[in-house]
Amino acid sequence: MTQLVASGLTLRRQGRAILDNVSTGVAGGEFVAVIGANGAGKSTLLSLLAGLIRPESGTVTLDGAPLTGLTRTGLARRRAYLPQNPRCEWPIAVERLVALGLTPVLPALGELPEQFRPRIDAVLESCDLTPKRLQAATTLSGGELARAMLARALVGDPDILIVDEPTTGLDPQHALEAAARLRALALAGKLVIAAMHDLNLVARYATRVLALHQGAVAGDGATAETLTATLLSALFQVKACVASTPGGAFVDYFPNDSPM
Amino acid sequence: MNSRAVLFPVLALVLCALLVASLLCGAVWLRPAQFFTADASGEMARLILTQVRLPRMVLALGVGATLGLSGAVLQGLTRNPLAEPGLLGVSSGAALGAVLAIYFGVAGHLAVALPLLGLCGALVAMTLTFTLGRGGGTLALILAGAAVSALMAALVSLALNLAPNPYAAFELTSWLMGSLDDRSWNQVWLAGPFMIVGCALLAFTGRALDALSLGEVQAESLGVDLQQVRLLALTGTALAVGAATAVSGIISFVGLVAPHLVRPFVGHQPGRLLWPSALSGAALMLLADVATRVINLGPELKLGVFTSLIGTPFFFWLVVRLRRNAP
Repeated sequence: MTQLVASGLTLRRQGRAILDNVSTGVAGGEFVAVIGANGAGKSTLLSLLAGLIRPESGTVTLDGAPLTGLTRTGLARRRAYLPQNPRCEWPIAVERLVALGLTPVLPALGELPEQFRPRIDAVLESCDLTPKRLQAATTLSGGELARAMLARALVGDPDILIVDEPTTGLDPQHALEAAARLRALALAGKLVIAAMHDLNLVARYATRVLALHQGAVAGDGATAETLTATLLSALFQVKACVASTPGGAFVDYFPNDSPM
Repeated sequence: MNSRAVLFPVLALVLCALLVASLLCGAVWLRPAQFFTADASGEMARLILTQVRLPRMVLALGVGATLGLSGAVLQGLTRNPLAEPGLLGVSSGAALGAVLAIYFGVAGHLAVALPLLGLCGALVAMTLTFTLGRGGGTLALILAGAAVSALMAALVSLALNLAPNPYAAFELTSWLMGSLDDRSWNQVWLAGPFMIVGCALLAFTGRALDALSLGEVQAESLGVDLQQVRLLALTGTALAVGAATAVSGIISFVGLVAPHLVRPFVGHQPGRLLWPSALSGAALMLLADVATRVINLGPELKLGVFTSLIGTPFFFWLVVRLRRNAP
């Protein structure tokens, strides 16, 4: 089982601590939602866990081996990373965009080898993109582009999927769908780590919550126990309530000075 | 998508036709039958073919392919459709080297001194650009290239300004305009190896350019070493375009236009664009070279001037298309 362990991660920019001594251990089968206010260090933590940047101090290990000891392509084969609002710069067909996810396993020169075709077909099908496969990626709607990027991330069959704000900018239907997809991937054994702002989606779909407050861990554990009104009040400086409803957990929040 | 399967045969056919035209047309029009006659006119035809037309054809082919390939690489690297081989200061560096060779009269004593110094100029410009722009990402590299380019252009102007006599100034400007006239096998042997090594380096950027369509962060997450790709693109361009500019003078627009001509046929994917763009660059260059020989305006029509003249309308077309596609 995939084990990703961070210990004592610290990163400073211009004297200000972006992350301060963050430690956690996550494993395959978990859908970890990283929550926190804007500027709490969520994106930085994801980049560190993805091995894209190096911490000032502290280490990240994958199955016991430090990320810094892995080659770029070796790491790229095991984890996929999607930044906030991923974009495609050229009007490439969706199936070609998805194939870019195979970059770490492709030979240095030449066309896409035939043996990868079935994988691309399968991932297009699983992300409901088959009818769109020849359409230019730049003409997709927001929800379709998000699915295409997810397919791009999944085509290499990574053990770890790290996604920065996968539901931001999506309408309710597509946001629910995206969250459900991430949960299904976790249930299938992958380690999914996502920074999220929609707390209702976090409450219903994430199996685990990692809360950051001003660069430090403010809460880390199973969603039901960790995502509490007290934690949310501390994180976001709001009055919060977490209720359980027949449709799943429900989160709402109000300004601190509201009479609720 | 079968358009790429059609593209290669079509490009190859066009190229072959242009190669034949390039061998036969010029101040003396040759007929293929002449090469097989045994008399003095056959002797002359064979001499023109092997010593004048053939090296010129090979140079046009090499210079055009080099410009097309490097234009495609730089457009992919910067994700900017207006990028061209001169972007990183390499061509102006080569121009400065060549201009210095003419200015100090070295070129008069030793014919290969001009391309040799041109090549040195390109390498110096590349080193400057890379040192200046190191560690600052692609934008820093472009800015450094613009700065180096401006410096080299200023020094070229200085050389023109200080030219000892009008004849020297004329020689300098006419070299700067770019031409393949009076080139021989010497230039081919000198520039060829650098162009081949440079193009080989550029070819290895393909995968990374594809990944870069997703932006720098995603490309890095896919295992692309951006620093290494920038170095490959810059070194490859310096060697290939530096050598090309050193033998032909500055040829503008071929490197800019060639990728655009074939981009729709490869599904806009930057990595798959490389070889088609090299072929279309070679075809454009041969076409322009043939045209300068066929069009007779009295004085020789310079190749660089001609490519600028036919290249500028292409810019207008880009603007119009951008306006049409704008939301």
